[in-house]
Amino acid sequence: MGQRRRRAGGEGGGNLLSTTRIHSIDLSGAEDLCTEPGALERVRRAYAALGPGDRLDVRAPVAEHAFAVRAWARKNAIRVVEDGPGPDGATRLVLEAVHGQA
Amino acid sequence: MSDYAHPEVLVTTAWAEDHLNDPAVRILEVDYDPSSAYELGHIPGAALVDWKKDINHATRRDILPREQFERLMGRLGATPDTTLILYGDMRNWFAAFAFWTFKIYGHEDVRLINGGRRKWIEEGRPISEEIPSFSAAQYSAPEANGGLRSFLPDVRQILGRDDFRLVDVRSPAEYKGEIAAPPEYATEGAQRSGHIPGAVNIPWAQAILEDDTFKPVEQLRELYGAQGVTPEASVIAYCRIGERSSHTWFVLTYLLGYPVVTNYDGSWSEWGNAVGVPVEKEAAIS
Repeated sequence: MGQRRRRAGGEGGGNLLSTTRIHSIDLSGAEDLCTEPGALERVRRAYAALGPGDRLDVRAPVAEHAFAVRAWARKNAIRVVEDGPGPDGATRLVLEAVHGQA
Repeated sequence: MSDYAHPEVLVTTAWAEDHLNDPAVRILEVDYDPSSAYELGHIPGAALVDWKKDINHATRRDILPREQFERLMGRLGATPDTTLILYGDMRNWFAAFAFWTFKIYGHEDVRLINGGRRKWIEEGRPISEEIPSFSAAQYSAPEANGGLRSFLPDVRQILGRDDFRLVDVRSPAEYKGEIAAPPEYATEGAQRSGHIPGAVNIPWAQAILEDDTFKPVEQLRELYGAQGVTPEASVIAYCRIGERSSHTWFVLTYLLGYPVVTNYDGSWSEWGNAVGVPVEKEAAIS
């Protein structure tokens, strides 16, 4: 899982002086080998590790995985701040951990 | 699909959508992890079959016993005449495993959705969160068909025989012995890594296309034939717990029509833990 920082603020009343950590996870190849957790389980674990205000940037080239992330986020009242095709055409979903964990 | 040896065991996603309200058809989603799949949305009217709870024996390591299968069918409102349409999470592995067990208990008309859950969602077909309920049915199954399954002593007995082929459908890293016990699957670990001597490695996914549908029959014939897995030999497929290998068992039995194919569901999580059985490592992969 990758990680980068951005200046917070403008979305959800973040403090301009603080930074938000943006973690990223790429689901390409998920469930090909049966040696790692399923796609959504990987997202759940990555999300659970976020701190309040952190974001998880999910690249989901497979529609089934994007569907699962959306449905799981909806059921758990997790805020999806971006949902659409990323620069490479794969679906990109950005989840925000308002309260830290779902 | 019509060139397959038994095309009647596959349905397209379009066929499944056309039969959502067909009373002779029961659509079943077979999941390893329902919380990541069925519970988030499924084919409208599809019932959940939870692989761990419904398809396995409650206490010992085994497939469900006949009485449990009968109860499962009864709960799903299925009779021996019902057309069972299976699909599921994890690329249809567990749906294929259920297909195999349903055949062991003699259910005549079982079919897989070609491409499974992944293709259904990719195509934007309808999804529902409603849980269907069915009137209970009486189901009487015959004795288990032992001819579809291999156990460890069976495999041990055929080692080195020319008239048998062992197909290891795991990833090359598992086959070569680089992975013994994936930490994510705590109950599937093994004391030793490698493969059963003489087994060829044809990972399960080589039988499918990008959209998870099965490859055309000529490509499948070439894939297995190139490794010496031909219909003249009896074939035993295995993986780690028998789910990926049931996918390959399905391909060899129903798409290519090989006459004798069994699934060794004990697979590496049994063989790799057994005392005194031979293990091969790092053999060249053609």
